[in-house]
Amino acid sequence: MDKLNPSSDNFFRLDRKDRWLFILTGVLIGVAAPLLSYFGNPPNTGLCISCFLENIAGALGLHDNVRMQYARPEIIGLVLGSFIGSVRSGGFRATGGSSPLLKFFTGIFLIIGCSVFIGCPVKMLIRLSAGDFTALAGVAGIMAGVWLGLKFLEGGFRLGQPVSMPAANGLLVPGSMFALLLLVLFDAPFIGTSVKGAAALHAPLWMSLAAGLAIGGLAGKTGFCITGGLSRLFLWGPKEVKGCPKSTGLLLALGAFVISAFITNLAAGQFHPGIHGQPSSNEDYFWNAMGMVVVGFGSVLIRGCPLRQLILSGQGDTDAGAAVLGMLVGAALVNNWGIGGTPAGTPFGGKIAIIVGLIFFLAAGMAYRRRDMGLAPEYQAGLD
Amino acid sequence: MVMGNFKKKFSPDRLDKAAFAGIIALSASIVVLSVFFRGHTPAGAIAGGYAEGAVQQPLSAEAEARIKQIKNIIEGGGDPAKAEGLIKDAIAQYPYEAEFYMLMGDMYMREQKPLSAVSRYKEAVDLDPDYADKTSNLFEGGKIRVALREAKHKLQAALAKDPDNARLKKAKSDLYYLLRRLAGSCG
Repeated sequence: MDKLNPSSDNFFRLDRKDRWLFILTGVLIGVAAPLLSYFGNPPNTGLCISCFLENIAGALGLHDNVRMQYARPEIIGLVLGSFIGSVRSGGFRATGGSSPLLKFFTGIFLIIGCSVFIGCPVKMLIRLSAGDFTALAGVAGIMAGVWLGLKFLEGGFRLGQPVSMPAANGLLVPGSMFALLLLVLFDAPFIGTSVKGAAALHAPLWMSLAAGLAIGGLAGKTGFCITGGLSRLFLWGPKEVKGCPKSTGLLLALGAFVISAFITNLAAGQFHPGIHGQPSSNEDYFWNAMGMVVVGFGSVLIRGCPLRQLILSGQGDTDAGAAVLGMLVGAALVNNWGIGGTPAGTPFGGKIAIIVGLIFFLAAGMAYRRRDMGLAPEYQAGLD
Repeated sequence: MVMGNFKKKFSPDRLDKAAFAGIIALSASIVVLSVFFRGHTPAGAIAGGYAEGAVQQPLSAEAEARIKQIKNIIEGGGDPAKAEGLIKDAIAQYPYEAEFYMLMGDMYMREQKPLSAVSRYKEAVDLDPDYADKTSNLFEGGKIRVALREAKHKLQAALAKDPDNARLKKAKSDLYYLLRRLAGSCG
């Protein structure tokens, strides 16, 4: 949002219009996600970046899990919605050069972490709002991960300031998503579509696409990010809510998301409180939490949760585009190596992958630090 | 000289030391996991047969004939002991054929042994996830749910009397696992 620029006079004030925009973003995600489940998406998976990227990786032939192949229109819509929104508002800017390779590898580990938990941070909140209390392990994990990441940010971790690039660079990810949409619309024979399993469960194409476009547009405008909202609280404490409009906004959006998802799930008969027999869950609570530690840690380091990376890639951020490609590779690896969580539990390979992810982030945290400096300005102003 | 330059450039602070200790501890945990838990599969994990994404192999003609014979006995109200014996033989011969486990579960349900039925249904679902996949023609969710409901009542009563019984705990774990399988998953 232009008004949230630190150089702006309004930086420390969230006006009424902006406040409602944040709330609207949360409400939209909170209503759309359970409704997508109601109209066909897998239970408690109305919107899940990691699951849907696994489906897209399968549709593109990057893995051969016959139950996980579908070019999810929600993901396409998220990127295109954010792209259209940024072009309309004049916010589209092709940027890059802020450690793209690190973001690529981080993207891989983000999806590994999500798959062990069986869902991204958005799905974590959807699961919680549908009464799945096992998701609380993920909440604890993501909090711990965000806290860890912030320790490195405060200790001088920096990716480098992104620089402007020719506009064509910023069009690559939205262009690819548009091409994928065309392939889906024209029913290209080489795009895989599962006839059974989770990927065979989906809402009507137009509905998924519309939801993705709307959420992408609004999330792009507000900078909606699960880990961003949490990290601001950790970084500056509860006072931050009064002081900084974006923090206030993100927390409002998160609150609106959870409350509206709870109400929608209740109305749609999808609220089943308990810990046993919940969809997309298992009883490996420790590893569920560890999966989300990886997601929280990595998301803070690369300035945004998986949803935020998709949104940023639609706005011309080529580094976020590298993270998205990393996430796609991670989605393929998770299926090819069988390391994602299942209702049976966390497989051995998943546990090792989580530990390797944590080692990677700790090592990256050390290697990318400027020890003589504190919180980098790009994090201070625009921590997503 | 190289080390000298490195030391000059890199003077670790508390965060570096903590991160380094974390890396060492995590690396050690990989070794521990690999040595002690490598072969460990979580309760209910697929131990053989079809992987989640694998394409199911067609049944042999002989296996199909056996299934038909067993079904005729069960559905025709024939001798349950004979049917049970045939299923056990078939499982010994075709240990990765899920349908025999489903038939065994059905047999146990007829004999009002829901705990044993749940255990067999779990093995069937592990071997062929289609039995718990509502998008598949093989979906048997309704039948399995009935068994789960009856097993739950029996389990609650049995566990109240003997809360430390390992067999009952395993049955409880299987029951919750099947409930999760039927609830669905994105993965």
